[in-house]
Amino acid sequence: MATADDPLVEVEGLKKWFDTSEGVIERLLGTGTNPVRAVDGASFSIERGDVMGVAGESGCGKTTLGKLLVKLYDPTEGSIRFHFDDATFDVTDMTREEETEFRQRVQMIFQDPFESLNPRMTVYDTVSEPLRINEMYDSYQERRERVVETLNDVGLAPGDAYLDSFPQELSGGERQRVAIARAMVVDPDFVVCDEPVSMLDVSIRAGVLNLMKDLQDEYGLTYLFISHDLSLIRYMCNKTAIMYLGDMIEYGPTGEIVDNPKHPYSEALFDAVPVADPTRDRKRANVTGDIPSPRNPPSGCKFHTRCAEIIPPEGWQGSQNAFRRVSTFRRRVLNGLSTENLDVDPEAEPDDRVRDRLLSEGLTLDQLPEEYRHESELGMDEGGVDISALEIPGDAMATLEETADHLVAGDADAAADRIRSEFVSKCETDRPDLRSASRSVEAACLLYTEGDRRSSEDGTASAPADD
Amino acid sequence: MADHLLEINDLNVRYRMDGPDVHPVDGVSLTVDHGETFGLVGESGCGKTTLAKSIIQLLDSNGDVESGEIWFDGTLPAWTDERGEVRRDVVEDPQYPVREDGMTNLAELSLEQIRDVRWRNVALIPQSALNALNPVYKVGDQIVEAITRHEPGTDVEEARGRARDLLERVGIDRERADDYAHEFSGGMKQRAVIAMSMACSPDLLIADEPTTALDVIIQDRVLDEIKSLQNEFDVAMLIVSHDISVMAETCDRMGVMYGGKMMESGTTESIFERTANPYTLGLRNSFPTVEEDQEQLVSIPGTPPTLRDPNPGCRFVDRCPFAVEECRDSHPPMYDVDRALGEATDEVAHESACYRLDDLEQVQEDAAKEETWLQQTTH
Ligand SMILES: Nc1ncnc2c1ncn2[C@@H]1O[C@H](COP(=O)(O)OP(=O)(O)OP(=O)(O)O)[C@@H](O)[C@H]1O
Ligand code: SF4
Ligand code: SF4
Ligand SMILES: [Mg+2]
Repeated sequence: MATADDPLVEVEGLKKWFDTSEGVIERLLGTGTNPVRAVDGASFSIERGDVMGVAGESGCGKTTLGKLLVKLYDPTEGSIRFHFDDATFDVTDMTREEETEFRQRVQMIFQDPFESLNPRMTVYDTVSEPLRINEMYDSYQERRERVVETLNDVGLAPGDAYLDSFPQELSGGERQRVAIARAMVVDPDFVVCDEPVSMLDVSIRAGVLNLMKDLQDEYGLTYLFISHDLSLIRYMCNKTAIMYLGDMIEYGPTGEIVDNPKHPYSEALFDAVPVADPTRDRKRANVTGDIPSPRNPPSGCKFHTRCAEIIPPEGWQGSQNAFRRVSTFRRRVLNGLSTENLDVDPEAEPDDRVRDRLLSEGLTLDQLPEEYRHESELGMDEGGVDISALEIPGDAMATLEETADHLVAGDADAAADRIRSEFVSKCETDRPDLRSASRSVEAACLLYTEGDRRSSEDGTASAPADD
Repeated sequence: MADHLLEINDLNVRYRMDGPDVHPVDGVSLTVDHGETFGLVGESGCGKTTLAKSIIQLLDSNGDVESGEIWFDGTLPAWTDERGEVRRDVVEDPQYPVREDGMTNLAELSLEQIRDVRWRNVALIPQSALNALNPVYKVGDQIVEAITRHEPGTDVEEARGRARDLLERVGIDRERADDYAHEFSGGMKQRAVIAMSMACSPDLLIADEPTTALDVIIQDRVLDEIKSLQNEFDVAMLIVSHDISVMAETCDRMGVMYGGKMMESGTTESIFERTANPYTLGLRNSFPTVEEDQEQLVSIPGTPPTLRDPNPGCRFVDRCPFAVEECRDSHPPMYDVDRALGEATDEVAHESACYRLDDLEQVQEDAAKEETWLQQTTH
């Protein structure tokens, strides 16, 4: 039996790996054997009455997480427990009767109101279907009353007038209201909303969002609200979780996370949101490269390949920014950097010039907004960075040059061997779990150790936590 | 040089249908200056894409410009065609509709003539640009093809070099010119398409929802890229978006469209600082911001109007809490906002199509209140 102190939802070590979606070519080549790690070990809880926002870029696992919670997917590993007022459900271990009841208590609303409604079903059929499936209400009359009541609740008033309409006769906003009515009609306790307004026009979005807020009070609901739009998360949610490559990397009260994100990825994500103020000069997201494949995520902290604040190893003498570049160069070497791709001709040029070119391009941080690039990286011709301006410590520079010499000599293996065990950040080897990053926010980042404050390396790191 | 680079006057576009025609652009006027970025904002279906495509005659086959002028200050340089013959500067051709100030009416050009203009004077990045690249061709080759097709006679090696420069310019390694488009991520494809559109150094670049399909970090980079291209090449841009925050950050001036009409246009700063149209005010109310806690978002009641047989009054009248009798009779013309506020300047910097400009301050004040918008009945 649950007590009022228990969180509504408790999730432990939740994983969902998909290995079915392999491409034909990959299967033939035998290269695609890795499963997609859509959700890769999430542990968290959701309190009663919370609106928990889940944000992150496409493919980070938001929808999979939502579907796991309402048992549209079975987890690969881990547990999900719901503590309702009168009963506890272990979602991975339910009897048939329990499952029937569970499906009435949790609901999901999908992104696309144009796809999620059956075009051949009237509004009445659509909204009453869950009542029939869950065998709620005995007579047609009672069901009909409940449907009309729910339609009124979602702002389709008078409900009677909508009963015989088909989806194509309704506007986008009305359709999404029908989808919401279908979720609400069974009086659920927990609802997952997956991008519920992203297909709607701006001028009608606010109406649907406000409706969802009102219904939360009225029905005493707890929501999981999935959106890639951080402004919507801010408006709707009292708690926010940020996901990256299947991991929950930050979780806490929305206001705190938005105003002072703790994880470098969250920080970049919030920095990237444009603001509706033409007089403001916003700082941009300080992130390199693209999201790696969830089939083959980076070791350690999955964000370390892009992180602006990657932690230098003990004994590093240079600046953190110089380390970030050196670590980028190292990764490029291990991934097969060679002189082939340079825009100088290795045959025609003297070796030391080719080497410098290799270092100059290899130490460049790619796809970074202008404000974070080194002065010498700007401008159109050649590309690359001025190595001497980076102030890389002498012994490190020697290692880089030796590595580059191997590459110039065409010996990629020797180059990789030279640099593999140098410049290893703990971000690459240690996988951070969610840990406390301030009084109420948890972040999965090695900059934080329990009870510790974020340290500022050389002024490039953002301000330390102030609470 | 003429006053403006692009000057659209009273443009009407229709799509022929089985039933009544659709009028997605209904008497719209706007100007874009040399090197300026103009943003066209509005909700889905308000006619933004139609307006953008009509400029270089790229409308769907059932669409055409019914009336109106699209003056463009693009003097085409002489160039050699496939047979090595030097083609004339079009402006010298008496067949071309040219005005005294040297501007050409693009709406009256023949198909052959407008083809000369596309890419070399006006390039368009379509709304679904992520699909604009052929996935099984090398990206570099696609840019080379765009160059040689539109500037016949260009040496292929030279075009290759230019393609690589362009990719590098938008932050893609030169050597990735040899990658296939399907090997590019969404953000890289979008950059490559931007690079391609710059291939023939157009005077005007039209970008239709350049970042809508992108995740926020990638969007941020593409916007940064667009900004630095503007600085570097001084190219004028017409950016279409439904996102007012994107507009606020990238555009010098902007126009707000609703149901085929231009409701408000002017400098971005003025439009944000003293929004002068009830529709724009409503739109801003319904946009959440990531920056501050908002008590309540206020939505505009009702739904956007039909473009088939729109009623004669102000296009916004059914949803507007400020409507007065006059609003039902005819759609308002554009009024000078500064003049209405008693601050007339020589140049019109901000216009709004609304009959209630006289009591603008009251309208602005009331528009900020939720009750104002609730009084309307939803339908
Ligand atoms: N080929 C066509 N035939 C008929 N109607 C069309 C055609 N193309 C567009 N329309 C209609 O014209 C109107 C304006 O469409 P347009 O694509 O210009 O809008 P938009 O503002 O770009 O919208 P979005 O933000 O969704 O891209 C819409 O009602 C649309 O359905
Ligand atoms: S653990 Fe290291 S790489 Fe990961 S977010 Fe923290 S600082 Fe960056
Ligand atoms: S003209 Fe009338 S209906 Fe139109 S926006 Fe102004 S007040 Fe509203
Ligand atoms: Mg469009």
